[in-house]
Amino acid sequence: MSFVEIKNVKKHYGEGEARATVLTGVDLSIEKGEFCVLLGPSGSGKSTLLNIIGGIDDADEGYVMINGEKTADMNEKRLTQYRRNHLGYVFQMYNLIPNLTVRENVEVGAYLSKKPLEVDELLKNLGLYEHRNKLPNQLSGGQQQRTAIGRAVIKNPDILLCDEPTGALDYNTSKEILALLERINREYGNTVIMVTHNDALKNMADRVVKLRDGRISHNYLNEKRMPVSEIEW
Amino acid sequence: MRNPMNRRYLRELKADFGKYLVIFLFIIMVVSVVSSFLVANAGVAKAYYGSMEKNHIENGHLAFNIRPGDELLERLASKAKIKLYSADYFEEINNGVTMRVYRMGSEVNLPELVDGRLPEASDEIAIDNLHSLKAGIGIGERIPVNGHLMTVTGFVALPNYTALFKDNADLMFDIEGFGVGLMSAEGFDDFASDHVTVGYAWTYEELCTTDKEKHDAAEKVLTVLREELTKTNTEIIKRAMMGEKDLTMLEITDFLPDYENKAINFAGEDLTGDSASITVFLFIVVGVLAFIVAVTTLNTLAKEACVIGTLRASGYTKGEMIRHYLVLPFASFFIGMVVGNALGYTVMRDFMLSVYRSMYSFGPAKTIWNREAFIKTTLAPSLIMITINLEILTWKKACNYAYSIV
Repeated sequence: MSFVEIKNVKKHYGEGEARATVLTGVDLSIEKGEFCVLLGPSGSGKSTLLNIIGGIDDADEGYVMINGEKTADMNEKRLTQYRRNHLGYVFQMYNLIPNLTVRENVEVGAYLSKKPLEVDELLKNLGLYEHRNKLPNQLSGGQQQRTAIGRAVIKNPDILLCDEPTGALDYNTSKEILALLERINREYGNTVIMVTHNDALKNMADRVVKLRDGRISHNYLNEKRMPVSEIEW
Repeated sequence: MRNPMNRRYLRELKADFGKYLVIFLFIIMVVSVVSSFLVANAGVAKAYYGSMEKNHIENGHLAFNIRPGDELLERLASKAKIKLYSADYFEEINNGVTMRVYRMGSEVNLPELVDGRLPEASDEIAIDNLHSLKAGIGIGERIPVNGHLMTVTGFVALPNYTALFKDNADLMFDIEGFGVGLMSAEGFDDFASDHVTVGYAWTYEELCTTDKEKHDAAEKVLTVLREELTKTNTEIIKRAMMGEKDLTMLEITDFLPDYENKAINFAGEDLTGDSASITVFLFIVVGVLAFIVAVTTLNTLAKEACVIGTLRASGYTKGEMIRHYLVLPFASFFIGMVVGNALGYTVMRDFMLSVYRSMYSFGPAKTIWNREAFIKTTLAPSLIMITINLEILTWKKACNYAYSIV
């Protein structure tokens, strides 16, 4: 059994004429420590799938099983515990707490974890140590996203879910952030599931999953994973 | 590890100081007024009801146009199962102010001495403390009564005149235009005989507790009184027909059971009404404030929805989030309530007591810190604040709001 098992997941929003089917039966397996990229155009259902994996949205049918445990069987409290102990989330928008410093924002993640990483060490690793006492509004977009990644990674989560983490960043900063995620995956061994619409990023993944119209059109393992520094788009 | 989110409180307080200051000051103002009012109310109520029992308040009084014979009074007392006490009085009007003066020594409606001493000599008088306050009369001053100058020896509170109603038909008491006084038996008899009203107060032999018992007992007194009056007046008519001259028919000029006596009951009803009104006022104000706090918190949630959604997605519980955003408004509210109560129970209580003292005549009274006041000003508002906020903030749509935005 794979670390993440997704079986026949279906999802729709709205009713009647406004009914929109987003996922039409997704089956997917992701192994522990894999860097998985979910690719697809807007509206293909990749963010919805990520949210269902993260337990912040429900599937209409099918299930998500992580490390042998179905998320659909968990009550609200258990689901929160599951997210607390096993998941780290990075969104397109950084969503940092505006009146906490960089260090404090990262500590917010550490507080949730039973096995957090060392804060200062991670800040150094993220290149944020010298900015640790700055507020988010004193940082560049890349620095803010690095802080958001730090907040998610400090928990040492089993799975790092990233929803278009470079969507609001310029090319160079995007590369910098992607390289960071790549390094985190390698150094800390977290399973990374990243949603993107940038087709070029398939080269940095262990597993590439392409979605179109709510179903998986391609699902394959990269035989040769390329470092982000060598990828151009 | 301490929750790093806690470090936000002081920063938020500084950033939104005005908002929390308004909640803080508003609740201090409301709670201090209500708590001081309630403890003053409780103190006055204790003095009021305590005085009724301690000073043997009448169960009613009546008056005749002439003094009736002892036999009539004895038959009335025996048949109606009451005890009668002389309650003669005369009235003096000076500069538009009516002073109703009673003879001391009765076993009912005993005066409560507020200041000075009771009159002993025939030219001494004690007057109601509230009227003396309004009229500016001091102890030792001499006031004209029935053409004589009487020395005021003290101020008293009479249990049957807690509210200074001159006439039971009056709509409102009249502190400035009406007062009561007491003279020694000798002084009263010396010069009151020419225009004295023949009055009697009564008490029931058996204690009446319910309104119906009181009503039935008073009806019984009135029925017996009518019968005896009819008998007496029939005798007078017979004697007149026999040619006897200068006979006067006996008439009742006043009959007032205690439960209808405004001078006795008005203060009690007002105290009860005040307590209920101020409590309802507090609950309404706290309810409105709770809604304002909830809406303000909802706005903050909306403003920080992305952050909240991210934190919830990271594993912060709904409870942790709601608690986090309610800590500052609740702290402003609860600290304000503690300060308001402290002010109410210390600084403002005497002011509230003086408000009652300026309306009603009662003996020494102390504010009473009581459990009911504590429940009304602390526990109940806290419950209202917590319930309304949790109801609104845990409302499903509100809870899912943050997620939906993320």
